[in-house]
Amino acid sequence: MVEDEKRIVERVCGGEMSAFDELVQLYQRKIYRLSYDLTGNQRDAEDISQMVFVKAFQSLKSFRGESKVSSWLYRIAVNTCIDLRRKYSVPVKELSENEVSDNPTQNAFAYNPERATEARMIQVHVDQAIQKVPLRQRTVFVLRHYDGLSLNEIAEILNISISTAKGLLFRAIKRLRKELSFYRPDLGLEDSE
Amino acid sequence: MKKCNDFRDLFLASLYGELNTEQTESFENHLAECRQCATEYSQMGSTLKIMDRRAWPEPTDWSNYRSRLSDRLRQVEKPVLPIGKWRKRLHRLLSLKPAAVYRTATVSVIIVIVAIISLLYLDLPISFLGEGREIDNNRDMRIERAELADLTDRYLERSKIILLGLVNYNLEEKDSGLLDLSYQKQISKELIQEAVFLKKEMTDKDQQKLIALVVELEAIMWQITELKAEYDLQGIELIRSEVDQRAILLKINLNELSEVN
Repeated sequence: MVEDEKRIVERVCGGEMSAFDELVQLYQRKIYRLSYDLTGNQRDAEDISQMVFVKAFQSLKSFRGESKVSSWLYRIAVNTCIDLRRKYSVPVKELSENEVSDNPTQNAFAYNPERATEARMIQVHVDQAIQKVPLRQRTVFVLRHYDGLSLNEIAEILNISISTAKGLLFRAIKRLRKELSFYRPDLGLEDSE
Repeated sequence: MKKCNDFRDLFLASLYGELNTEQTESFENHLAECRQCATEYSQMGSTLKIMDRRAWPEPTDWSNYRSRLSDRLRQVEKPVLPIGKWRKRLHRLLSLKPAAVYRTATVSVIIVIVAIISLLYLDLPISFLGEGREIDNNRDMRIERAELADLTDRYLERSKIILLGLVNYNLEEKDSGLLDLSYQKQISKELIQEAVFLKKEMTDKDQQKLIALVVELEAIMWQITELKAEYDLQGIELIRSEVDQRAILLKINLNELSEVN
């Protein structure tokens, strides 16, 4: 565990609430973004990220420091998202491996060449693409690609093997490739097939 | 010599800069020779570059976010004890004039006594749960899932017994004394009441098949109640045919099997 984190945890356990506020400020953006990646909407992201910190506050005294605080918070966030998903049975349409979505932004993009709109359209499409990746693959992808966790850390958080984590990451990238397949070099963007 | 699959295993490590010098050299040499791997690797790399453009919406005001979080944490630290509210109410009540208190207490006692007398001495419908408790369709009763499952199992079991009695009856026995359907009709009425209750309580999406079965049984029970009290062979034949066509007994058995598994 990072020395600063360790000291913060000790201060919180000693009853110093301001120390917990420091912890929140340190991780609020990461946990919020992860919650957004897993739920796809801001309201849920805010609610879940706050639940994560409440749970962390309640169980900080039992935190043994065997993993990083960030990994521990990520684990709480992932489990909270999964629990809420089960509880409310939100029917998120997740396409199978071979289906490709019918993306309305594709056509809009083709007929709207202005750079500012392009950038906005790319972001919208990227956001849509990530939400179409199945949850487990998506979780591994965001933890690896945006949070910089190693496959080892991800495997520990999700309680899976490293090879499973690797397989999920590979499939996530392939799926994203399919969802983003309409980008072409003549539009000044990345390679096509 | 390494094959394509071995190098594909290194795609992720290479994309995230985790190969050592030796591995990088070997990997790059392979990409130079294998067009398929090179294309696939390039596509994955392009995808990741596009995903790097991701932007997240954020709360408009992080300090507001933290103040809402602080409120939630304060709830956790010092939960609101309902007893505080009740203490206040009790104090308010005791500060009323004694006459008002006595009047209220007297009325409450009378209401309780009348309720007890009604339960003990009036002729009320047969108990659904079979242990002195009764269905009160006006009361908003929340039943635990396990209890609901038990009730459903009992309903299906009782329905099965009634249906087997009718289905297995030998219609060539024409002695009317052997075919008194009044008991079956009485039980069917009870089962119809139970079906109405169960349909109201079963709200889970994964109970759709069970609900459909309850609905079918309810329809059959209605037909049984319509039978003449004695010797209604034609009515019994119709019900048998209905039970066979809908495979009711099979569905009940399948439900029992799924419970066991």
